[in-house]
Amino acid sequence: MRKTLVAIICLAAVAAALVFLLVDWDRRAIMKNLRQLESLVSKDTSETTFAALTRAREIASLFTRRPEIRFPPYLPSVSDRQELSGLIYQGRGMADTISVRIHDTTLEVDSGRREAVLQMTARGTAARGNLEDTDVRELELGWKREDGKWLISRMRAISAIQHPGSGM
Amino acid sequence: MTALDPRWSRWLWGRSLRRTLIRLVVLAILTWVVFGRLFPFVRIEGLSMEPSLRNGSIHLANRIEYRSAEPQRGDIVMIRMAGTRVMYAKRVLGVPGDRVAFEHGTLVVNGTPVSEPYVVLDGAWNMPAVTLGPGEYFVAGDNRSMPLDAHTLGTVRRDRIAGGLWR
Repeated sequence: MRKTLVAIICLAAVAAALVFLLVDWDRRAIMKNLRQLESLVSKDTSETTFAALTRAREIASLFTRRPEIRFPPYLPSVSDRQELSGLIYQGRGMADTISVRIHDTTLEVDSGRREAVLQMTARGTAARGNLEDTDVRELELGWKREDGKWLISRMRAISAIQHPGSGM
Repeated sequence: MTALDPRWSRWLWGRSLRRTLIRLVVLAILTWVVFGRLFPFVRIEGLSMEPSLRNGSIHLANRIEYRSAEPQRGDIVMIRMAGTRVMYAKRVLGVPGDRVAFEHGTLVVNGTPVSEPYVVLDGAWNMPAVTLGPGEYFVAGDNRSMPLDAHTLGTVRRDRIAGGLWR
């Protein structure tokens, strides 16, 4: 009986060690933060001012202190987390409901495990009253380790189709 | 537990359960290869290809169409974004080496006005000539009634063209 117990414990320890060694924890952490971003940006109903401010801060906390945001292209580029939080608050306040879905993610973590680049397609639908607008964008997100966490250090849109006069 | 009536049993899994299971696995793999990889179903979202491709309509993409051939003017192509789950559907208006322009809504390729029978919702687009380099294609939607700036059109690299579309 005791031998069986010891064998089970040993097997469990080996399995745990294998999981620890084989799982890419950096990848998991980045993907978890990405899913959190997707969920935080979305909203089902109108929010109170306090809830919207809290949500904007939570979203901004997924970015580094000095992020380089060049998206959406019609907005001035942002390089400060506080400023970003304000823009998120304003942007989310313009819609009653927002739905964001992320598809086709490709992640490359650098060999030093300090930086990573993620490419994805994001599909966002925003509604206000009877009006609804959907936008699909290909985005590139740069990730950096800051304060022990994987945070978004830059965000830019990539255009598969280069509009004439866009500087291609 | 009561045994299943032999007639039902035969109707459900045939003479041999093993053979039926093998057939099911083969069918599942074939379905995945054909409809998951080679000819996936796509749902059109948006108005930019109206009326050729209606908003909400479902079509089959053809991922192998351009493996051995190059896209031609007039083809509808699927253009991948970060992957192939979400793609653009656009019409090829210019191929490598072409000079493409719009003059008062008329497509002009290499200085010659081109008739576009698929354009029903026309507009008055004006766009200076764009010269396409090697491996570059000019694509646009069929719905020209929307402003040029609001329409996703322009140059796309060959490696972004993921296939064609069956209508």
